[in-house]
Amino acid sequence: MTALTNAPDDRPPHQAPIDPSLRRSGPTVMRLERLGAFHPTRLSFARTLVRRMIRERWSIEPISWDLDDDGYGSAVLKISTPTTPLYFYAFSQSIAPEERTDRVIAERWDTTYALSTAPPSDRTRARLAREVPRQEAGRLEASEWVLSRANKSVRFFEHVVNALANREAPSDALLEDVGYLMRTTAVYGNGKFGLADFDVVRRSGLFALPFQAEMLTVYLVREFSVRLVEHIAARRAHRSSVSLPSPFARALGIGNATGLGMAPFLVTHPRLLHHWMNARETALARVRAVESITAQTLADARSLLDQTHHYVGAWQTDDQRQSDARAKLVTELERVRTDWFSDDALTNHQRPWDQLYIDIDQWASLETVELIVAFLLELHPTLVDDLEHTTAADEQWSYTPTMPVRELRALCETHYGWALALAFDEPKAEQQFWYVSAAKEEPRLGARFEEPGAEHELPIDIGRQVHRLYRATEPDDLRTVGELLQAQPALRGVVRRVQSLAGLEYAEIQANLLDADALPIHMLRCKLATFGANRFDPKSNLWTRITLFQNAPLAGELHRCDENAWALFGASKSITDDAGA
Amino acid sequence: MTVSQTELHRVLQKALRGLGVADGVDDEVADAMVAVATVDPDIVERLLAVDVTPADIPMIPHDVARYAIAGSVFFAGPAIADAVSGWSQRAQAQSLVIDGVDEVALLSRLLGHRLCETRVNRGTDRAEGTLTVVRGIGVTPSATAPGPITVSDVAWDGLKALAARTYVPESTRSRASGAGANLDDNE
Repeated sequence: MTALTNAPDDRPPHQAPIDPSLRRSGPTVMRLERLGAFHPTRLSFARTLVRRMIRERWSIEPISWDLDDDGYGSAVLKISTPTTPLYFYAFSQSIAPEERTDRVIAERWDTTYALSTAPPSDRTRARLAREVPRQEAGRLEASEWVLSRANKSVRFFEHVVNALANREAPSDALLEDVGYLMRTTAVYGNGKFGLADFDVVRRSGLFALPFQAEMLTVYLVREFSVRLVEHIAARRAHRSSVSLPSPFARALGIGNATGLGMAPFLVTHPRLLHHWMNARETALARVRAVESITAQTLADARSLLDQTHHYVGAWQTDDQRQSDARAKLVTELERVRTDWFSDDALTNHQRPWDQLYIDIDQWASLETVELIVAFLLELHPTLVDDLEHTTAADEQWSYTPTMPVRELRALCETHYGWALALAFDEPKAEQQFWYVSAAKEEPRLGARFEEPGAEHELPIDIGRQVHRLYRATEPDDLRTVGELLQAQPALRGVVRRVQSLAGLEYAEIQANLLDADALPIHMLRCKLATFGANRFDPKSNLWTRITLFQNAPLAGELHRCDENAWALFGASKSITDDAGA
Repeated sequence: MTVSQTELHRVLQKALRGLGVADGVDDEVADAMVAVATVDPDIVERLLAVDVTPADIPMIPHDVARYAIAGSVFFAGPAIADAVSGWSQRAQAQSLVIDGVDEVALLSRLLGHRLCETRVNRGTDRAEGTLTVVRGIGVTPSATAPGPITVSDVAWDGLKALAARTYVPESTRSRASGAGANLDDNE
């Protein structure tokens, strides 16, 4: 598709107050099943990072490349930004097939990485060469912001190397099937293993928004993976250099296997969750408020719909639930095209996108509705993009012990009606419990009535906790909250939560996460879509493979494309292609 | 060893849970401990040496002008802070005296956001003392300096051991269904 321009029907956001009726409510948005149908949008973190790199003309160049014929060794990429330079340290090693696993139990990986503010002095190189390949077993310093690792997608990696070395075009079919040369199995930030706290990163002036350093690292892993296959192919072919054709290289993303470890984050960071969702919902409300659209916007929409169709058609998954959802999505998108885009009627409608949304919301699946949300946001950059700056939040609690208990009850009734409506009469309602595993100190899910450990349950059962809090009080309770907690200190966590989050309508996943039917995969999908992942390929209800940065401009293209070069589900033709190999 | 503030907070919170501290209390105490540890990292070792349990915390009156705490600020601190708030709202006296404070700096930090000004009467930050709370305008705690904190290896290992009390051995079912399970990773 062509790069989207700012549609002339967009008004600057500050001149467009939001009609409350166009805004989806917390109970509508925060259903677990809907969160599990989210798609990336132009507010997703991968997208906002790439737009920024283009806008600010970042450059990414290798300043050290010490890899042997098989691609083993180390390399350093320098990232030049308008503020501080960063250094991406990459280590590549040979591992035995039996050592290669995406599981968290792995101890060796094909490649390991650190994103650092430290220039490559001898001391820094030696320290990172010692610590980074050890990953969780190593110790980093506050000069490092992110620690990561990735394994090769062996079959595809070898295919691409061989094709390049033999001056053949690598297989488009395999590219469509796999989508990446490497997949990350962990991306650590925010203070883990001695890394810099996010507060330190934020004070550097480079990243004020969450997960930008982590997203940059994944982008750099992708860049390194492309350079690595080119390096190995050149050595194998005894040539000075070979290059992947740019469209092929651009279509390569980075894979990732994501499990339960990241799911509780959405519960333990409710303010952040609210801000992420609020940005998205504010954007949707703004777009639904657009009074009319031009023929050009309609043409852009048709083009984007084609691109979306292509993406959905190529989306492969063996998971039955996701496969059924995708099949339905294909059919429903066809109906959307027929009903709304077969003629120019949309240009004559008042609030055309609102009418489109209302119609689809009545008959389509959540998968389709949420895809249309992403589609609508994509069409109106000027109504949407400023909202990326609202996606940061501190998890500060505002606790008031002098609040009358009656007032606290009223907060529960007003803001946690979903929790009070839950029933815990049947064992099924408490079937699952979350815990931290002794082996890897990662969150896991247990079966309460079959497995030991429920006494160490993580307190992410918000629905049940609010239920208990409410039952621990009386309508005519004359105590203060502080007095209530003197008698029942175990309620302190939920009391602080209710007081702090009242009024943040998207802060809570409005579901009983302990219920036997509550699928953790929905939480993963929500978070990963917010990051910018697509090609969701669940391998169970507990983990999924995804792809990031597919079709994003390559590092060498950042200076010669515009901010909208990377569109929803596709590359832009506005990037001038280099000559291929 | 050098640890990040986030890392210290996470491990402290788990360690406090391992000691039996309630959800919510753990977070408040860990927050305050990290702030204190930026200038007094030995506070971690003092937590490990504390010889009372969270269950020893008595009820703390919300409306008297003087009381002595039993137990330790590590566990009772948030409840004391609540009592100070209750006193500030209800009592007539201008000041509240708290005796038997084993961690004055930690309690001052926990009191920081309350509607009061704290004055330490006696003792130092590291010694048990008496804390006088004076009714007045709220005192906002000073911002914590960013950056890593150095704690002793012994203290760190001690915290990790306490945190490990809250961990659960992974079940066979869980191991068989984690990310990356049941696939050929050499594909």
